[in-house]
Amino acid sequence: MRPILLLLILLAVMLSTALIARPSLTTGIRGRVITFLALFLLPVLSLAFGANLHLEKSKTTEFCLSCHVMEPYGESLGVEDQDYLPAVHFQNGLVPRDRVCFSCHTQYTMYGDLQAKVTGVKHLWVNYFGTPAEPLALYQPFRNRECLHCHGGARSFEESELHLDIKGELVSNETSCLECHELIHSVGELDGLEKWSLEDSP
Amino acid sequence: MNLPHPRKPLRAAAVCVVVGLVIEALTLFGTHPMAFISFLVFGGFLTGAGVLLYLTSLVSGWLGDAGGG
Repeated sequence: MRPILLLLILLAVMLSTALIARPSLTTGIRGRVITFLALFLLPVLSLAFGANLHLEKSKTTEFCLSCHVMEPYGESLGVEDQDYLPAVHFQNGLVPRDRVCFSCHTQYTMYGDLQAKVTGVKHLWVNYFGTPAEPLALYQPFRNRECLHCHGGARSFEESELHLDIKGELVSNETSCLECHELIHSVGELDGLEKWSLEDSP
Repeated sequence: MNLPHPRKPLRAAAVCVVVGLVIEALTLFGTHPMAFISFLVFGGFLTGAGVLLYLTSLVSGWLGDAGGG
């Protein structure tokens, strides 16, 4: 999509530059069509496609981990211990590796409600002009929905006796999945743990 | 250069659109929250301002034509 968008932008810039250099181009029917293309249609299309492209990019692991404060969370994906939930999901490809954060945090910042979007802007402000909290914490408890949209209906989940006993509570979010699966990012305990990386794979 | 009335806002609109679109194009190469913010705040604002200037010049042109009979 990016090459097409860049072509659209290039075309709009060329036509607009022509209008700047030769204002007489705006006269006549042909001139009006060129002006409409250069100053309305192409810029509006570029804005719409560009916003969509940026939104898609913001779902990527690279985007999330590009802030310094998130680096330890990226590091936790490589812990050589299959009890760590993010690590086991990332290393075994249970979630797309290029969208690993978004796979489990679907209602975060841009993708949540208006309040979540405002929070996302606040994150940026704090990242560049303030001091991020330490340790970082979610604003709301992690919702089981994030787990159940993949595990719900999966045989390994549905046939587990432990899950059967409390399935209703899990679905209603009364009992958190994280009460038992408690090793999450644990960024304060990563030092000294063995790490795995994709390059280690044969 | 002294431009007749309808061309001045069009030229300003074209300048805004060009600068805004160039900023937008540059942000497309970044995968970082700042790229996103630059796209929206700088690129989006300038491009939007250019489009609005163009639309305003259209409307004022029509109103002028109507007023002039």
